[in-house]
Amino acid sequence: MPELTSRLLLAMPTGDSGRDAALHVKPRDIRLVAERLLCQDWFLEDVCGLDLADGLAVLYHFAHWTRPGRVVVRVMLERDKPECPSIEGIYPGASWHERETCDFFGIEFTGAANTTPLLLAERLDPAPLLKRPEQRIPRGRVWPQGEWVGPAGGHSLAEELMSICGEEGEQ
Amino acid sequence: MAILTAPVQALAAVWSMVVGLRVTITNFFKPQETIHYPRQEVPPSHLDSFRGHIELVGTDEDPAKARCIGCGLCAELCPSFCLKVVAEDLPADPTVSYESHNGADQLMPRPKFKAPPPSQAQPRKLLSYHLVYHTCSLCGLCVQNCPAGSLRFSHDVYLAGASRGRFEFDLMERLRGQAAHGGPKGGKAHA
Amino acid sequence: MSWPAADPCQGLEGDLYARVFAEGARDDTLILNMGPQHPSTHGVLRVLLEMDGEYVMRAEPVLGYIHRMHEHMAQNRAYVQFFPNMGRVDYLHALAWNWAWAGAVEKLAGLEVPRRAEYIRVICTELNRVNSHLLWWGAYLLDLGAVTPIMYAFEDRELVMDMLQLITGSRLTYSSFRFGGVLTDIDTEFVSRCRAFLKRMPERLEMYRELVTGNAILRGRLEGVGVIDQMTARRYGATGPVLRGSGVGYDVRRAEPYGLYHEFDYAVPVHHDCDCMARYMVRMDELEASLSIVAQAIDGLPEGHCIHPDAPRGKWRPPAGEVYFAVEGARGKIGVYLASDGTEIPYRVKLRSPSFSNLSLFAEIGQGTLLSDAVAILGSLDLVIPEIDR
Repeated sequence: MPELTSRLLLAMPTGDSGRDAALHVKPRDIRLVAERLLCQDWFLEDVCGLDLADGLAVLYHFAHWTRPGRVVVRVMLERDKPECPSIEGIYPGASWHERETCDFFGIEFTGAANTTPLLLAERLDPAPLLKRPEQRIPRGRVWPQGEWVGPAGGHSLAEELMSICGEEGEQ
Repeated sequence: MAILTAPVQALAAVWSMVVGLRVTITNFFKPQETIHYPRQEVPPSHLDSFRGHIELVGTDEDPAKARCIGCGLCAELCPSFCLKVVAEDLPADPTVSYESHNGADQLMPRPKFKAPPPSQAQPRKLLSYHLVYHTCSLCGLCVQNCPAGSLRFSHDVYLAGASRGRFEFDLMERLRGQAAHGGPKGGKAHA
Repeated sequence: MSWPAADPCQGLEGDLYARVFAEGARDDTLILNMGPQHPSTHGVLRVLLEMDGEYVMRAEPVLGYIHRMHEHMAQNRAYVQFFPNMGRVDYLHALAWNWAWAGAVEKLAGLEVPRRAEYIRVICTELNRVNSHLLWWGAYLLDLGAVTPIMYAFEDRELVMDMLQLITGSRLTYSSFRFGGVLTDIDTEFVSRCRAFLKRMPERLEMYRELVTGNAILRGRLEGVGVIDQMTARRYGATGPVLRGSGVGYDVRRAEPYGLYHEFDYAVPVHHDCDCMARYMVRMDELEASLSIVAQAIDGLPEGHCIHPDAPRGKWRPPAGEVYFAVEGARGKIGVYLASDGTEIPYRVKLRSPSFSNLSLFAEIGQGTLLSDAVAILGSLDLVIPEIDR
């Protein structure tokens, strides 16, 4: 368990922006994080792609029926090979969100059972919501310097979000 | 005891049908709500707030002349590019310079828009004003933001045509026609 | 029986979705397209069904028939120019989507909204919710085979549409919210019509109870059908009446308060049976709750502006950053994720639509149901396909 939180970065968005905590997660850890969040009874609101100068970001927004606040899980992907493991085995509702994100951004969600286009008739090249290189903004513009970003290990909120709900299974 | 509850349940079910039938029969004899167009029409008072296609508003002195100052803000704001506004260019005045707003680097967290930007303060003579109604979504941005109050919604609910040209309006000509007939058919300026 | 060597049916296997779907099918089942032209799918929804007689073995919704790329349009126009799109995303609760967009940008830029404008927003949005639920009720019963209630529902809807026309100018796709308030103020005509409507509705709702809710045939068709347990609802992200019919009292107006909803005393109906009847009852109770909110708001309407005098008009630049704003729509939780780069045009807008998540669980709960029950389940989810496809 401590190993997972040590690999995460926790960011606290400033001001009143609808998000209370942001976890920066490596692609290979997204399934573990999703599992932990499901154990804590968070539900997936949506999966959203974002085209930044640093790469393609995938944002998973989670909310809770009884706890106030929203958690966003941010995954940065390489632009030339944007692949991210699918969490549809944990949150079946993510399947459609991931297909939509693949339609719009060309991000491939590995391990997904159904990868047919959801909203578009066929995959487009370039993907419709990708930006031209001169239009992309750096991540610092959208996630400003005022937002504290640091290692999640040891932080009480991160520990609570990631608290154990069973054996840490195979990846 | 099923032998008793089953008939009771069946009777309750049948009774619910009777109750429903009573409702529908009562409503059958109530007067009709639907207005049979074209034998009847919606009363004009019901249309005061209806958003039909936009039209120009005439000045008080001369109803055939629009209040429009030719700033083009309506055409700029239209999300569907429905408007074509042609206004006379101002005579070139080398001594006057206007600041460009597009070059502003600062972020404006609380912008104040009390005074219209300089480009709108100088009235220009309006040469033509065309509306292509096909893609208009009646959002009202043009009407809301006109600095001269020169636009309002018309109230023509019965607009119908057999050709595409029927929905492309020369609004200056429409205004002249309305002024010749003594004013538009009802309606206050909206927003 | 053997087909001739050159299969005459070659090339008639259907499109990509039908072919992928048919791969896992048994030999003796029927692959049926429900939609996209279908009176009961509430929009252009296509559901591929593998049918064994009257039973649905597998169901898979196919989307995209009304996909208009609203998120791309948002990246191509100024903030205020996106308002008309919001009415077209969900035409039945257009004002909730208007509010979601206005609220997201107001949150990003820290704009204030006057109290009177907040009250007007509440009144209009709750009246719109009443309209949406009335249409859902009529259309749902039409799907189930009852042709009369939709006419009664539309009679009531006409009164609400006339009221909302007074302030928004439109009957269905409203775009009358702006950043910092609303476009037009409400006047005495609106207030008197609203009061008359509030007086009329209780007996109409009683009539609906007599005609429909107590009807034994309706109970037989809806009770026990389409059970969605809480775990399924959580894993698919279901919200709104679909979730509240499964015993979870989650309402965005209480969970993430926005506007001035905290000043009103209203019920959030929850039913625990998890079936179609529970979702039906939740929406019927929500009609009464919305009417009570409107009554309180009309009585307590404060004086003031209908839009903040310093509110930005036309094209303007909010600060850079991102924001997520959610409102409670008639179908569930509407979310707008907005990322801004400080220019006049948004950088990224993601519209989180409640029907999208609600429909995604149909593939799981539709298995093993009768076809007519599948229609009942789809109707009870209260789908608006343009909202799903955006």
